[in-house]
Amino acid sequence: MSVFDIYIQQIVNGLILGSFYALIALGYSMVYGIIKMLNFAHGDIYMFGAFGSWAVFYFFANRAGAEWACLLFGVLAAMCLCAALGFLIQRVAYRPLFDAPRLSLMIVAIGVSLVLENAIMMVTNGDSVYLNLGINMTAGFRIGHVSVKWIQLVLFLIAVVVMVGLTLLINYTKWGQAMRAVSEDMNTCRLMGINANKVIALTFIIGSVLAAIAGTMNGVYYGSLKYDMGYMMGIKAFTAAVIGGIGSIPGAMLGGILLGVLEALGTQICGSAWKDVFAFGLLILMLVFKPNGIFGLSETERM
Amino acid sequence: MEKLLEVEQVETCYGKVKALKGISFSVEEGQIVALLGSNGAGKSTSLKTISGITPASSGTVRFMGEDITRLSAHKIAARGLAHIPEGRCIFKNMTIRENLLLGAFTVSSDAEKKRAMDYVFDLFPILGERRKQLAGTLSGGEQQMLAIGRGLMAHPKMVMLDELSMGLAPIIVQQLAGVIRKLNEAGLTVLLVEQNAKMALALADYSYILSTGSIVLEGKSAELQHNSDVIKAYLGGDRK
Ligand SMILES: Nc1ncnc2c1ncn2[C@@H]1O[C@H](COP(=O)(O)OP(=O)(O)OP(=O)(O)O)[C@@H](O)[C@H]1O
Ligand SMILES: [Mg+2]
Repeated sequence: MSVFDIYIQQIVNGLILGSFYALIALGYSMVYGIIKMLNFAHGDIYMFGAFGSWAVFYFFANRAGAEWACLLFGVLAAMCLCAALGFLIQRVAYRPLFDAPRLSLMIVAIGVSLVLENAIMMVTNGDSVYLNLGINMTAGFRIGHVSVKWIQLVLFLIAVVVMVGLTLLINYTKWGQAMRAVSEDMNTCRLMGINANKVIALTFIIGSVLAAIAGTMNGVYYGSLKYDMGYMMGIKAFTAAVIGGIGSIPGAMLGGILLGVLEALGTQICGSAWKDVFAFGLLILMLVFKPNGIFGLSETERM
Repeated sequence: MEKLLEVEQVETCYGKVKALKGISFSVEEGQIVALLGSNGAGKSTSLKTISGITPASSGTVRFMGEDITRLSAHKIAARGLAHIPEGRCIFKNMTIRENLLLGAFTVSSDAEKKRAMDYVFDLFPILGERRKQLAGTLSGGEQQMLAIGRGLMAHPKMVMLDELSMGLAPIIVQQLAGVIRKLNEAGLTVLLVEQNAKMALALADYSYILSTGSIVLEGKSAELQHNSDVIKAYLGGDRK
């Protein structure tokens, strides 16, 4: 295996990690685009999604269902759970503060994040739980010296399909157009007869559903879940959103993939202890040299 | 004539600043009414209060006989009262077609939307030619046309136009004034907010003059046109 092959291999590994980042970054970025707040609880919604699908998976698997069907139920249940959770959080905790300074909203978001984390910590006693699908995780194929696992390919394709679906929804449906319009100018949208609160709620719901999908995928891929798994993921997704240009949907997708790949390559070069340093170093560089990100609009005010 | 819009003793505050100090005026169906005043008089605030963006702190706004003072902005728009805001506020990162479709957000039938869009393209052919172009790339005059077109997409009974003439060349202003007159002849009721008194008085049947949050003068436009001393005093200089 040549050095070149090793890097190609890392890019393949990075793509899968990056697709998780991208799915979560989308929720971050969409919410920022609409109400200019950083939803620090978003990583914990992802964590809830992972635990939700895990719980439903075992509920059915213990009653002898086919694994794939149990997992399908699991992810659908997690999507519903997270949709409800995302809606509820914005309705109960955030909406009363929409007119308040953004700092108050972000402090509330940190509070919500702590509540969600601690709730799962209490239920799980702070231990990791494990997800064993009973499928062969190492099976795959080779292209030259580079090995690709089936599970990687399947998860990556799912992420791509979800992102294509989201792009179509945002660009070609009435409510998707309304979401883009609200992120440009909320009051003018209200003058068009658009219920802005409904659009905001919809944004939280869509972002949370994406997080649930990412949470399930992550659980399947790594096989273990812990109550604090959303913390680092949330920060990484935020980094990805900033790289792409926060508020931009294609930016979040590209930023996520890019971060995943760069992190994998960085780990290869500097060693795995440097993994997070690499990501946050990139965040700092980005904020210093290109604060609007790759697709970012220059006029938006930043917090 | 029936009163389409009635504003009664309306007060509106921004925090502690009282921008409207109990204003009353009305617009009859089929009329063009102008609300004139210099910078900071409260013209935009009046429109924002009527359309629900900055709700009144006291007083009443009635549209088609119904109290809309406390209604959310999107519900007021859905009742057929269109507000074309100051500075156009078009969605710059969206195409002209998308902008117009957003204007028809409350319209559910696709055939209706298509008909409304054809009507707008008929009114402003340039928009039809550029329908796939991003709205941010349009010139100021074209953006104002788009803002008007977007405001017409949901078949409103009445439109409120905030500073139609702002930043536009006289020839474009004249052209747009012609469009407003044409729309009015087709049955649309219009409330115009203007600093350009000459244009507004020529267009409107009836006018109100606003100064620091109060209505100080009103009358038939034809009469006010000759009362140029008063206009000079309240509109802060001759704006011919
Ligand atoms: N968002 C706001 N917050 C605080 N004060 C405001 C706000 N908007 C307007 N005001 C104040 O309310 C008063 C009326 O403003 P308004 O925008 O209605 O004036 P206007 O007649 O439309 O002026 P112009 O011709 O410059 O558009 C002004 O004194 C203004 O400073
Ligand atoms: Mg104004």
